[in-house]
Formats: sequence, C-alpha cells, structure tokens
Amino acid sequence: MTAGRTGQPSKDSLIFIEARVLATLWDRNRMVCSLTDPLLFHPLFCWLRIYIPRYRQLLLLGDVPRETRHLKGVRVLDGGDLNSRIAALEQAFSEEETGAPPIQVVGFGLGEEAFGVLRSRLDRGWIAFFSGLKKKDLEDAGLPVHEEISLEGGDLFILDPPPADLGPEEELLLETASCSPAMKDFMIQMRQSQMYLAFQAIHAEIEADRSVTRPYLSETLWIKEKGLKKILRLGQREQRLDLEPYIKDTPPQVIEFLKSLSQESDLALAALFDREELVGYARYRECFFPSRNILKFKQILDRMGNSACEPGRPWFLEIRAGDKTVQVFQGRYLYGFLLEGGTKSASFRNRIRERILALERKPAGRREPLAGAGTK
Amino acid sequence: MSHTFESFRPDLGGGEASGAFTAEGQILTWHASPPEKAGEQQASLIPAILELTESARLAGLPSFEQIVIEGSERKILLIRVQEEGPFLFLLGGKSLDVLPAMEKLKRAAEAVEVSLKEPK
Repeated sequence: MTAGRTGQPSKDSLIFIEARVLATLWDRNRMVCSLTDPLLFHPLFCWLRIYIPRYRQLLLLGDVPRETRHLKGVRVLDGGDLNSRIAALEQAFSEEETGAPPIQVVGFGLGEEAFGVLRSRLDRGWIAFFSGLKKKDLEDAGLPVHEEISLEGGDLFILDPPPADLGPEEELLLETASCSPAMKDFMIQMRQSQMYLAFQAIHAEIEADRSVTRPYLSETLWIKEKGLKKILRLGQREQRLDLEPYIKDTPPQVIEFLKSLSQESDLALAALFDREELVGYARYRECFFPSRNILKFKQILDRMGNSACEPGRPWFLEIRAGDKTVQVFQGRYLYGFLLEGGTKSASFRNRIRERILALERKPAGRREPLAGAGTK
Repeated sequence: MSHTFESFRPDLGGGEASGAFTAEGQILTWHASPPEKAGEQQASLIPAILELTESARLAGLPSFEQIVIEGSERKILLIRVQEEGPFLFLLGGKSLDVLPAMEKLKRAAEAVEVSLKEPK
C-alpha cells in the first residue's frame, strides 16, 4: 500500500505523509479509512499495523477480514451482542488508568449503531475501516475531518490534529527509510516500546518522591528535548497521566549558558549540578561520560577537607588523561566539562571562568568567587 | 630504588608537601614543611587521591597524566609516571603558582624516571 496526494510524490513528501499517519496512530488519535473495496481492508491494516505500538492490546470489532483474524497478537471481540462487546471495550479502556496495557481498537465495516457507540464511548485509540464512505458523510455525522490523505484505492481521514512537532516521527522514518520491512517494523516497535518504558520509569521516579529534572531525564534516558515531550504526551494519551508539572525545568540562564558553549570545538559535554540535582546538561558530540562522575569527584574532594578543598568553598579540579580533559568548577553550581582532542585546557579554563562568572552574576542568591580566578 | 626517590625533592617554593607514592598507596618518599605535618598530610591526601584516580578510571578516562586541584586555601598538583610503576608525584601547598610549579614537578619526576632507567 502506498500513499500519495498527487502524481508521484517525492520521497520527502512520502515521509511527511507517513509521519502524519505514524503520529496519528502513535498518539492514539482517531482515524477513518475509506476504501473502494473491502478486500483492501487487510492490506491497508497490515501497512498501518507497524505504526501501532505492539504493547497495546489490539482489539478488533465488526466484520473482521479472515486473514486479519489470524494475525498474531490480535483479539477479536465478536461474541455476544453489541452491548456486551462495547462493555468489554469500555472495561479495557478504563483499566488503562490502573496500569493495564493501553488498547487500540480497529473496527471493520461497522454498522451505523456500532460506529455511533464506538465514537461516543471512546475519545481516542480507534481506527474504523469502511468502504465507499465520503468525507461529507463523516462531517454530516458530526465528525469533522482534520486532514485527508489520498491512497491508492481510498482515503485516510484523520480526525484529530497531529502533534505540532513531528520531529520524532520524521527522524524515525528517515532512519528506517532504507531498511527492509521487517527491520523497519523492529526499529519502530523498539522506539515505541522504549518510550512507553521510559514513561513508566519517570512515573516510578516521581512516585518514589525523587527530584526529577529535565536534564536528568535527558541524560539518563538518552533522549533529546523533543523525545521527552513525546514521552510525556504519550503518557497523557495512553494513561491520562500528566507528569509535566512534576518535572523541573532547566533554568533559562543555564540554557543560555549551555548554548553559548556550542562554539567550543573540543567541548564534548557540560553538566551543571545544584547540590545533587542535575540542572543543566548538554552533549556537544558523541561521548559516554555519565555526569554522575562529576558528583563523585566532588564527594572525594569534599572528603579531602582542609587538605585541599574546604567544604562549601569554591575549588577547581582538572584531570588530563590521554586525549581527554575533565575540568570541574565548584561555585554556586557544580560545573563539569569534558574536553576531547587538542584543546589548550588553560585557555578553555579562562574562557569558561568568564562565562561562569557572568552566569553567577545573573540570578539572585549567594555568590562565591570562583576558585583559581587569577590563573592564566 | 628508595635512594632514587629520595632525590625527588622539588623546590618547595610555596609548597608544604612533596612526595611520591605508588598506585597502591605505598609511600616512596615524602617531604613536609614543617616535617611533623608529614603523617597528617599522607593520611588525608593519599587515600583521597587514589580514590580520585580510581573514579576517573571507572568513569572511562584513560590513565591520567596530570591532576590539578585548586582549593580556596591550597593547591595540589599530581603527575603520573608510567616507568616501572606507575608512580605518582605530588606537590602541594598554599601559595603555589600552578604553572611554574607544575613545570618543576615534571622536571623533578623526569629526573627520577631517568635515574630509574639507568642500569643498576
């Protein structure tokens, strides 16, 4: 099954269309597929299926095609009357809030009554397949169509607006563009499962009363800002849990500070701690150096006591090792930098010291002079 | 070998401690100013420095070549020499000027390294 709006779409526009379909299904938005022939239900369902997270319970309703019934991991609700099937759906839907896997309902050729009940009871998480249904039919039935995508043999009607930022979807589709179907399926499912598990982990951290900052999640979960947004939105769409208010943001002046370091060619990583809390984190190039190491160095230096670093007073540490240099500054924040390559670490230190002093002048609060301020 | 390390006595200009020890913490030589501070210096510095170098190793850093710690009161300089060791050479004090002191420390450590290479 291929998608296209007019003529032969370019690869870029195909990815754009595919990203909207992926985002719709991943975010559990509602979608109606109208095909010219019911024989196309199964191939279209197979095309859409790789975009539906495998951890969801896939519940099939209506006139389910025979080939579709035999797919692994699907559950067909076809016993009893309409009311008992709807009751089973509602129960599965309500159990999501208590931690049961989220559901994804797919209805095939539903009658008017069944479709009416489905859309009135479930505000998300369903796809309905019809043959010969027009956009106007949906709109007359009180279902405004947000976007229409033409396919060979039919149309997709997207009922809910997709997320404003399709970056995670487009990135994933570009990464998998040259993969075989099986590998593409694997990579999409892997990313979706990672995000689902990441949300569970964030939820557990918050329930355990741990302080959770955006940089901490970004580093620990190895994700960018837009990936974290996606995880939090999926949690809202799948479990109706909004964890956003529980996550501490990076202070704006710290974001500005980290951005200003992007021109340092040998800087691989910067991490800022406020006591034990990671409040700023940026990786400027691929490297593996968990920021907790900076805290560990601090704990050791704190234990040296008056031999070197008096507790609560500023200090500076530099470790040169092969092509890597670690610099740690204790000021109002604890600053850690990993440099790689041929940096003149003394000149980096002088530049960074100026930036740190500028940062520490900005917010209100205690300010300690920086250690080694006179070093050239 | 101990005689070789006894020769490691960088000018303590501004320094309070200089010494060499192995990666296992065995002290090879130590000079303190005033001398009665030696025990206290060794007890507070050597375990912490070994812990720091071990943490750096566990963090995935290659073997360190030099470490600089500048506290609000004191500065500590450390270099590592691989020859027949590794051996760690330390210089610490309140009023060390870091860059010249590091150069002195390196030269003194190199002198020890050369004498270690000489045929016994």
